[in-house]
Amino acid sequence: MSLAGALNAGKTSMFTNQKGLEITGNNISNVNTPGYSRQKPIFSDYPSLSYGDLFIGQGVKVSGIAREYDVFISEQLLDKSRLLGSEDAKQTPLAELERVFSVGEENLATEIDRFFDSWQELSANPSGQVERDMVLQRGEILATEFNTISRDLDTVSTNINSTIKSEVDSINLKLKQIADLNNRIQSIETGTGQSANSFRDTRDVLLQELTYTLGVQSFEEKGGAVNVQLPGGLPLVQSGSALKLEAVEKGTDLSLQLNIGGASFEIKGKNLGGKFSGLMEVRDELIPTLKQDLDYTAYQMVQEVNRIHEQGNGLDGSTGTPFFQNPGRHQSQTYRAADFAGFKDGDINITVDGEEHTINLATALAPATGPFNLEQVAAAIDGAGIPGISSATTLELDDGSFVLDIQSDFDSTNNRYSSVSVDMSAIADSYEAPKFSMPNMADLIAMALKDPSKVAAGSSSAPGDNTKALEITALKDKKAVNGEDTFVGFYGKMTARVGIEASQNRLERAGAHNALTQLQNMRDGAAGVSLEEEMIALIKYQRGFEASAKLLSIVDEMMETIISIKR
Amino acid sequence: MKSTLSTTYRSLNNEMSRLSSRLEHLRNQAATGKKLINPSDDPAAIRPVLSARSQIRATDRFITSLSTAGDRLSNQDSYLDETENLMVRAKEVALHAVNGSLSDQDLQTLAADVGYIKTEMLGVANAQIGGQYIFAGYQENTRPFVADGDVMTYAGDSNIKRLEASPGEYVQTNMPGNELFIGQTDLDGDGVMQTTGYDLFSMLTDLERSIRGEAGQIYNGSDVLPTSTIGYADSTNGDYTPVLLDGGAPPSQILDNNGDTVPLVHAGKPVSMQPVLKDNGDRMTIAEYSQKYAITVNDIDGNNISTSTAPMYLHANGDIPAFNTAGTPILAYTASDGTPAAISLLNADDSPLQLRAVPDLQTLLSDLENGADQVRSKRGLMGNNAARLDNAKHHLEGVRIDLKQILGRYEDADIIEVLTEITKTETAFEGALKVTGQVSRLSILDYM
Repeated sequence: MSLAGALNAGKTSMFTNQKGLEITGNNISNVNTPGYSRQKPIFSDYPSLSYGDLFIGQGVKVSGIAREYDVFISEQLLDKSRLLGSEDAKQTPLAELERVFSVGEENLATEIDRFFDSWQELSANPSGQVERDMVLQRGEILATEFNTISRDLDTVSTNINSTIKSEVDSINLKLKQIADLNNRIQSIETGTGQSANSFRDTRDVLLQELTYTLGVQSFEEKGGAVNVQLPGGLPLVQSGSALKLEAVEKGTDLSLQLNIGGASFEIKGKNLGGKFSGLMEVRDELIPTLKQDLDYTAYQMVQEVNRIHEQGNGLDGSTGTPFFQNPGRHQSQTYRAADFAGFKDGDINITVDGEEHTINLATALAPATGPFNLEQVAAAIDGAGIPGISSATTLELDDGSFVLDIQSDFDSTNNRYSSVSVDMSAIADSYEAPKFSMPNMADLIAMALKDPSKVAAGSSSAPGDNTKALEITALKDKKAVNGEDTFVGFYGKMTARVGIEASQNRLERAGAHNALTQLQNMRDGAAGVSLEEEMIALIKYQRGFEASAKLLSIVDEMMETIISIKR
Repeated sequence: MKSTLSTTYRSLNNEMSRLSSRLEHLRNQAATGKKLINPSDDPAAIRPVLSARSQIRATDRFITSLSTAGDRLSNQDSYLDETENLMVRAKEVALHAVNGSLSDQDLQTLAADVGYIKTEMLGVANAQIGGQYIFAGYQENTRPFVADGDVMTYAGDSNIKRLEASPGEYVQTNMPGNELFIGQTDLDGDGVMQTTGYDLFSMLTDLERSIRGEAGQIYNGSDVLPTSTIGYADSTNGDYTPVLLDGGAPPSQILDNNGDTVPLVHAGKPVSMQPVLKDNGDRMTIAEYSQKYAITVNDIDGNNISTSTAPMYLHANGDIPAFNTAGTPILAYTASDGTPAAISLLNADDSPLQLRAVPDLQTLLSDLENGADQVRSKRGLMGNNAARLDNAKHHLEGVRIDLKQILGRYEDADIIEVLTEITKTETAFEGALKVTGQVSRLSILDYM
């Protein structure tokens, strides 16, 4: 090897150390960049040349820049993001629901208490004008409270819908970005054999974000491209092409659609993860259950109070006056099939405007013998032609289940529906006996009575008669909802459900959050930038550079010595 | 594993946000004094809290109702006391009169005295509290006792007003005037009262008349006793109405055309008729009555008159009287010539007769004592109710304290514990802040 060779080796060393310095500099610059993985140069020496018997190295080169990466931790991060996304998303609507179903001094239970309280006050002075006005006012406030809660529940659903809608665009953008990055990574890595480090980092960040919002699953192909799909397996990104999600609004309802080729698929339930699944779970499971319960409470309140009130007399002798407006339809719980014979023969008791009617299924449906199906039950009621009932039918709901739907007659002269109460407990068999409620009752509940002298405090128009007021007061302690709970107790149940849901969410969110922090720390421990490490590397490269420079200057001196030989 | 700048700060940040949200929660608890602020704070406590609150509210209401009822009862008691005194006074007058050595003049004075007692009694019976008649049953806006001559009409009803004294327990808060003053109760709920005790007003009228020396006479509420012939009731001339009553001495009762006495008693008691009323206060017809109670009403000749639209009447003991073909109640008797005869039991203006024979003073003395006893027993009954109310109130006040304790256990924060916890958390927070500050002070850059 010649001196020139040594010069060359010194030069390579200076270049590589400079390169090392550059990479370290880049690491330091990106110390706070999210998702950045620490890069490090890979040094290798030039192949040695043989000089006679000796093989002498020719210096050093940077053969590549490696990215520190831990697949295991990355996968874990995605997994925890999915859970955290789902729990994070529930936090806001649940906090709102906690406000709606409050446990403070003022809530629905308080209004229910106050309503019955006003009846009790009336029972102490049944002819009192003030007490009568109070009963009307309390009734009005109670109805409004039901309306408010019902509307608040709708608002929570609407807010969830707008959240979903506003996220869809950014999700589509991210899908598109991943597809683009896939293209770039593929072209860089297949062409040069190098690793497209920063593109991979960016893609990882995007994937983590998508996992958080949509709970996507991803796996890497051979060429370096990542395929993204929904938890249910519907594809979102395949290599360089991305599909688009679409939020479709139907009235107040909103659903997500994925368009693949000509077909579009609705995405819901198990097809979603992360934030969207959390939001959908609250919107499609918790809120409908709460609403149904609230409707049932309002329905029972109206039926129970009206039943007693219509039997009583006002001061002006009026009787049969409903207190709240009677529900116009009576819908049973859902049944899986309308043609399954799940009911046995028995008497159905229907009270319309105080008049009792009894329908015996076997008699009404002869010659058919039991057991009977839902359609036959509807036909039996419809065929009985009870005045006050306009129809009884079976309805198929969106989810394919069936309900029994009884509609009351509307009395246009008195501007009210007939009061209908149905007892079908005798026909329960393999199917439960129909129990009635009315959809959206909590939203529709309103006072029918305006005139204080028509408040039926007694069973006669005598001013001192307080029997009906006492009976209505006693409803407070009656297990009127489901036969298991008082009105206040049932509100407690609803509130407890929200409370359990929220406290569970808080626990799981804290857990997921902690786990994620832990994992991020681990990732940073393995792949993050540590300033100390970089500083030391800096010193290392500086010293390397200095040493190479020294080498060059020594070689230079030696060359000068050689040149000065001939003088 | 290396610790980088971001891991350090991330951990510190995490810890501080955890501590600050915990601190906020604790401070909220300290400020409100409650540990149950949101449903999620303790879902299991929600039902007990709501039900305790609901019960406390109900208890408050019960206590107020009980106080109102207690006031009413004590007011009523003073009127009952007054009634009892009046009866005692009446008896004293009677004892005085039975003495026998009194002059006619003296007897007239004593009779007038009884008249005053009766007027006072009427005042008591029509007593009002807060503008409402207290002895009128449910008809608290209607003057319950109206005197028409000697006939006392009760315009109230026999309903008992109850208040809920504690959950599911009802206490009687009024004494309907019919039970107290005229000794009648509607036992079967058909709107017609049956005789169950003593009619205090009639008793006093009897006493007044008896002192005046009219024992044995029959009267139907006329201040001035008739002295002419009282009328005939004979089978030849048809049914007669004994509107004119004889005040002669010796008193003559209704005579048939043979001059024989017609007995004016039903089941051994003076005749007392009442119209049957519907819920709304209208009179019920024979047709409506027979439909409602599924009873066939026949006239005296055995013809079915169940479809008659004439008003329905009943005897005071609830018996259905005999009717004539026109649907008018009659009293059937056998005339001295052996022929069956009947007289109408309606007044000229179609109101029912309340025929009474004036008893002698001796009989009245024991009746007066019985009448006073009737008042005493009713007073005792109401006194018991008042005592029950008082007990219930004491009990509820105790229950209220217990309920508040239960409520407190579920929703109130233990302030000492919360404050200690706040101090603890604040110290930890301070530590975290300090560490964060120091981390930045230690840097490799200072050593290069």
